[in-house]
This record gives sequence, structure tokens and C-alpha cells, in this order.
Amino acid sequence: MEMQLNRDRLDKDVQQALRAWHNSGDDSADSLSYLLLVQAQMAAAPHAKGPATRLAVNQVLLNALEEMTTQNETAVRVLKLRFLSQHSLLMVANQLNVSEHTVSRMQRAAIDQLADAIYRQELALRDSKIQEITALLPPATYSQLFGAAEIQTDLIARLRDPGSPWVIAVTGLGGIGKTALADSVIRRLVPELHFDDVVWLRSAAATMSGQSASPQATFDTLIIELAQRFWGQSGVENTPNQRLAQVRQRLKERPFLIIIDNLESETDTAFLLTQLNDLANPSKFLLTSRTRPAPQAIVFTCVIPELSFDDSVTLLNHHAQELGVMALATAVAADYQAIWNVTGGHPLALKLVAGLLDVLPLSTILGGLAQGGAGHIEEMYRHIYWQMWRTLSENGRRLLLTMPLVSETGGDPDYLGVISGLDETQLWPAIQELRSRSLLEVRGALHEKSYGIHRLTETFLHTEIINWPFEEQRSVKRET
Amino acid sequence: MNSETAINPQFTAGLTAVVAYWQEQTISNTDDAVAALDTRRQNLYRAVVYGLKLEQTRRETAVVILQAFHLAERRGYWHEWIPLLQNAAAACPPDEPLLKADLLNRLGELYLTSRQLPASIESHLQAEAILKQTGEDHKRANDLGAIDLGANHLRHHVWSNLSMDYAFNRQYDLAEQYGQQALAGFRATNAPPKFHANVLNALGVAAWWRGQYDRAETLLREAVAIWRELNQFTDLLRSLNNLMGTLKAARKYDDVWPCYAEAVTYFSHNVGEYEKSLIEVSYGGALYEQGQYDEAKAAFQRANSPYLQQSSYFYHRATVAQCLGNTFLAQNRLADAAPHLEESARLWRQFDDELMLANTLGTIAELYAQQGKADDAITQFEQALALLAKYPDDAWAKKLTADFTRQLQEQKNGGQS
Repeated sequence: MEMQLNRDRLDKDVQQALRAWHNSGDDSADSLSYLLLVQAQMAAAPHAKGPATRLAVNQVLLNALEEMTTQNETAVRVLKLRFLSQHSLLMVANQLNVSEHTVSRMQRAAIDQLADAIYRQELALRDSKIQEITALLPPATYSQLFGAAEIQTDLIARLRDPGSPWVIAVTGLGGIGKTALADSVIRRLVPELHFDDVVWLRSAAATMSGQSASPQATFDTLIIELAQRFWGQSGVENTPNQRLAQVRQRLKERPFLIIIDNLESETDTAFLLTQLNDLANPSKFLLTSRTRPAPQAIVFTCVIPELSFDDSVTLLNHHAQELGVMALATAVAADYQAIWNVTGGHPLALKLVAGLLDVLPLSTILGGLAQGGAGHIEEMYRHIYWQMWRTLSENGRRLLLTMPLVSETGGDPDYLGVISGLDETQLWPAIQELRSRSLLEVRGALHEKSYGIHRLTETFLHTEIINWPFEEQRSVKRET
Repeated sequence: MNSETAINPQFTAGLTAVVAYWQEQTISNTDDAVAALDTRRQNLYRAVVYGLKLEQTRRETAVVILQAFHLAERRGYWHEWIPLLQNAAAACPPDEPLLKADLLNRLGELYLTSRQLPASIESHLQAEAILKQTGEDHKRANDLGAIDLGANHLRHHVWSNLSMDYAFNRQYDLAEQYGQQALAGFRATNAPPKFHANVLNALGVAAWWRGQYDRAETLLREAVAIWRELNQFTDLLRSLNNLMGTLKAARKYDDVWPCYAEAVTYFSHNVGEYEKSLIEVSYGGALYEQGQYDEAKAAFQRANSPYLQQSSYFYHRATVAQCLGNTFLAQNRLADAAPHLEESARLWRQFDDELMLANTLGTIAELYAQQGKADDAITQFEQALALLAKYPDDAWAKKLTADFTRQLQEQKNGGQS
């Protein structure tokens, strides 16, 4: 799909399309085939007899002429006589009782008006399509992205590229901002309408436990979700193989962008990568995963690096401002440097530090933290979480330590009250406190807010606070 | 060292509170309550997983699991809940034999729903053995008062489930025996009507599959009437579905349509998508047998809903694929029929259901025959007949055997009958 809509070029394209009104072949209709208006006409009448593009272009021209009629009936008449009825300039001049030169001038002006009408209709349709696609994206979980400009530009360029790579994997540690990056890239691309549609799928909770039965089951579920997005519930084929063929055909016909977010399982990721290349081209896939694909996988891998010093400073200040933390107002370069040295530019860690600065001096927060070295990131998170824990109120702690009982879908305030034992007057300040420390994530929509915690927070609670002995010890080490 | 001693007591208190909360939330098992619970199932599941780990919350968590059974059973979540029930039963202390038997009974039901028949029978027999032993222990201790109504009732419930297990396993004498025992037990203890309905349903299914259509109809109509009275729509749809199957087998098509019309009126209630799909398959089957292939295909396609495709009801998915394949075949749309039949055969093999697989293989043979591939058709018919020979006591197997034998002979005679 051609993205740019150029008003100057449209005059020429409209004129060419008018001249081709009676052409039986489809080639002549190409001048306007890049318009969404034309594509929408073709989609509305997929089985129309005759050259499909030609008929669709003519219908778009007719619709625009119709719109012009109320404003300038004579201009419409001139165009219809000249191009639909194929009258010569002289014949039209005689009918209108004006000179040929005047008809020629009227014709130019009419084409300009017609191009205007088509331009307006096309812009409206594009706006509506952009809104339609954007409305189906999950809500953004960040207010601003930091330090991602370069990687963002690179990803956008690769996704815009009509050739390979067809499958792109964004990988990185938990808390590094994979989903946020993918979301920001998509929101930049959607208005360009490079893709017929952009579909965001989240690979999670195929079952209650959040574990898929098998990689094949994960893949089948993704195919069903895609099929339902394309054809609705009733249009989906019956067997897995038929559905796969159905989806494959659609993805091969037109360019779609499919995002598969949150691939946690290494086996799911590996299996999907073996399948997706067969579905791609011209469509593209963008995956986010903690797992780095195997070297032999046909995928462009984009590893999100930690934030640079400057970007870390910007994020810190931005987040502190959002939280209303004033402590950084007097920070000097050395303070920022100290934070950056120990957090290593991890966005989640920086946010946690920003929250902590409201209650602790920087020296206390950073005290005793090793800089760099093996296990540094784990140690850093453990240290920050401990600092955070020590500064929480009794009710804040009570709520936080029971949050692992809440599933990934989140819990509403009533449920949080049940698990924490806090009454309403205690609960809301505790929620607010955890929110202000970036420990509680808000999920859900306008009318149904629910709360959950980041996986790294849960791991800290399991290993350090609850002393839960039954699950594997994840990335955060136990304090000895 | 006891690893649990170090667990944060506030977390344990939170866990205890949440288990108690879910006990309250899972008391009701009406269709509406199950639908409401379904929207919060992830938090329920998480609470149960945690609750089973700690000794001090394990027993109460087992009660939650028992109460939440209907969610897992009606919504097809056995993939997650079977391991929970296994763990809960295995961890049940020796002084809680009734609780353990109850857990094993429900575990067996989930096995049956997921068509793991040997495991289902085994689990129910274990439950029965525990209940029998408990009764004998109390008798020996001359503590007859301890054999309370609950234990007796549970034993009848286990028998009722064993009746259904054996019906599905095509051991119809045992199905009849356990069903009659359960019915007598429920009557003697004046059990609530839903238990009668359950066992009538099991006996009805066994009679239907044995070819005793009049008796099956009587039993199933009685079950339907009870569920109707109780407004238990999911169970009502299940029994209506069995009744439609029986009527169809008895070629009483005019009696099938009113059942379907009634069933559809319950679709707007909070009934499971699976039950709706069952009804559509039975309806489509009757239409198919009447030669109304377009209408039958439409019913089967309604049955093959996206929900079903994403669900764990693999057995039913195989049935639906088979029905669609049959219909396309009947319409001579051979290319459309093939993928459905292949999908169906693949799913039957997963379940090791030889009778259903034989039916599908026979249908694939018919497809080959229509395509003029006589050798392939003969091979498939022979495979199907070899499987059918293992079930001489099954009415449907007899019917299929006669049908496939005739067609096999035709193929061997070069397509001449």
C-alpha cells in the first residue's frame, strides 16, 4: 500500500483516471489504486464482474462527483460530458454555449475540485481507519519512552521495509521495556497505514495457570485469534489446518503487522519462530520475549540495551515529577551518576529508585550496593526492593506481601481487601503508597480498575519476604 | 527442618483469608454462579495452588476445590484442575477418608469428562473402596452412628458416576448394575431429585447405546423432567441431548424437533457453550439422517464454534469434525469432506476410541470409494471392521459392521452391489 497522500499529485492522478473511464483493462486504473477509497470499494464488492480496480476507481470518481454536484453543477456536467460521455471539447463548448478555451479552463478547475473532494474523503477514511486500528491496541502502560529513539527508528525502518526481515523479535530482561517499545513503534507506524491492519496479540493465560498446554496449542490459539479478527466468529474455518491455510492466505495477500507480546516460554518462542516465517511476506511479525531466539532461527533480533546515563537522568526526573517526588530537584551530576552506576540503566530499577527518593536519602538507597560484576542486576533489584520494603508503612507492607495471591489479571480493591485484611480506610492509602513507589501496577479499563505487581516484585516477595519454599528461586537471590 | 516454619505469618494469614473467601464464593453451583466465577477463575486458581502447598490451609483448600468442581467440569478447565484434585487427594490426611473419597469422586468425573476412561473408573473404584472400608471400620468399632448420611450419599454418588463410566466404556452390564444400586440408594435415603436425575441420565445413556431405545427414552424423559423442574439448564441440556440421540437412533425424528426447540430456549441462559454445541450436533445428526444436508451442515457449523475450537473438548471436536465430513461427503463435496474426516481421525487416535475411529475410517473409505480409489477404500474398510469386531455387544458397532461389510464387498466386486 502506498502511504503518502500527495494533494498536488492527486490532480494528475484524477485526470488520468477520468481519461481511463472506459478502459477495459485494469492497468489504466492504477493511478488511483493506492487510495483507501478504492480499496474499500473493491472490498465491498469482491465478486464484481469486470476489471475490479477500474470499476472501483470509477465508483470513487462518481461518489466524488456526486458530492460536487451541490456546489458546482456545471463543473460536474463538464466532467461527465468530457469523460463519461466522451464528448470533444467542441461538442461540450456547443452544448454550454461557450468557447473551447473556456471549456478547457472549466475542465481544469473541475478536476481540481474533484481532486479536492477525493482528497477530503480519503483523509476522512484514513483517519477513521487509523482510529479503528488504534482503538484495538491495548492501552499504553507508559507516559513517555526514554532512550529508545535509535532502536525505535531502526525497528520502524525494518517494519516499513517492504522486504525482509519478516519476523522481528524484541528481547531483553524483565523490566527493560519490551512491551513499551513495541507499543511505541506500532503507534508511530499505524498513522502511516503501511499495513492493511495491525493486530496485537498477547501470549498469556492460555489456561488459568498462564501456562499453555503446548507450543502447538499456543500457536493454534494465535491463529484462531487472528482468524477471528479477520473474519469474525462466524467466518472462521473449522479445522486447525483449514484455519491455518485461511490465515496464511490472508497474510500472503496483503501486508499485515502482527504483534505477539509477552512470549515467556522458551519452547513457545522457538516453536512459533519455526511457523511464522511461513505466514510472513508481505505481512510481518513483531514479537516481544525474554528469551533470545536461537542463532539458527530466521528472525531479526533486537536486544533492548540498558539506558544511557543521559536517558536514565531524563527518565528519573520525568518519573519523579509524575510521582511528585521533589528530592531530585537538588540533585547534581554526581548523584545521577551514582544512581546510574548501580541501576545500570534499568528502567524499572530507575523508577523504583525515583519512588524511594521520596522517603530515603540517596546515600541510604545506594549504600552497600556493588557496582557491576556478575549477578549485579539481581543484587541491584534485591537491594532496591529491600530499601523499598523498609520504607513502607505497616499497611503498605501488609498489602504488598499478599499481592502474590493475585493473578496476572489483577485484583480489584475488594479482593485486595480480602487478601490483606485491610479495611477500606486502610486499603486506599496503602494502594496509594504502593502506587507512589511504582510497586503496584494498575490494570483494567475505565470502569474496572485492578491491581497487580511486576514479576520481579513477586520474585522478591517470594524469596525475601514470604520465604516461600515451594517454587524455584528465580532471579533475585535470598539474603543470607 | 520444617520449611513452613519460616513462612511469613502475615502471608499465611492472607492465604487463610483468601481460601475462606473462595469457600464462600464457590458455595453455589447454579449456572449463573458458575458463569460469574468463570470471570475470576485466575485468582481462584492461584489461591488454590497456594492453599494446597501449606499444611494449615490444605484441608480448607480441598473444600474450595470440591466446591469449584462445577466450574472446571462445565467450562472444560480439567487441564488445570485434574492435577489440583490429584494433589489434594494425595495430600489428604488419613483421618479424613470422606474428604479423600469426595476428591477422588470428583477427580474421576473430570477424568470422564476428558475421556480418560480407565483413570475415571480407577478413581471412582478407589473412592468406593475408601467408603466401604470406612463403613466396615465403624461397624467393627460398633460405631454405627458414625456412618452418617453424608457417607452413604457419597457412596451412591460414586455408584452413579461408575454407572456413567461403564456406559462410556461400553460395559453395559456394569453400567446397569451400578446405576440400579445408585438409584436404590438415593431412593432409600430420599436424596435430592438432582441425584436421581443424574443416575437416570446414566442409565438412559447405557440403554440408548445398547439399543434399548424405548427404555432409554423413558429414563431420559424422567431425567429431563427433573432438571426442568429444578431449572438446572446445563444438566437439562445434557439430558435433552441424550434424549435427542436416543430418539434419533429410534428414528423418531418428529420427536427430535420439539426437543431441539425446547433446548434452544435455554441457550440464552448462562449455559455452557459445550452443551449448546452438543445440542446442535444431535439436531444436525437428525437433519442429516433426513437428507436435509444444508440444514445439517449449518447446525454442525454452529456446533463448531470458535469457543469449541479453543476448548479442551477434543472428543467433541472430533465428533463435530466427523459430522461435517459426513455431510460434505453426502453432498458429494469430496474435497471439503477430506480435511474434516482426517482431523476427526487424528483426534480419535489421540483418545484411543476405537469405535469412533472405526466409524471415521469407514467414512474415509466411502470417500475413497466415491473418488474411485478402490484399493484405498478396501484398506480403510478392513481397518474399520477389525476395530469394530472388538465390540460385538454394541448396537452401533453392529450397525456399522453391517454397513461397512456390505460396502467392502461392493468395492471388492468392482463397485457392484
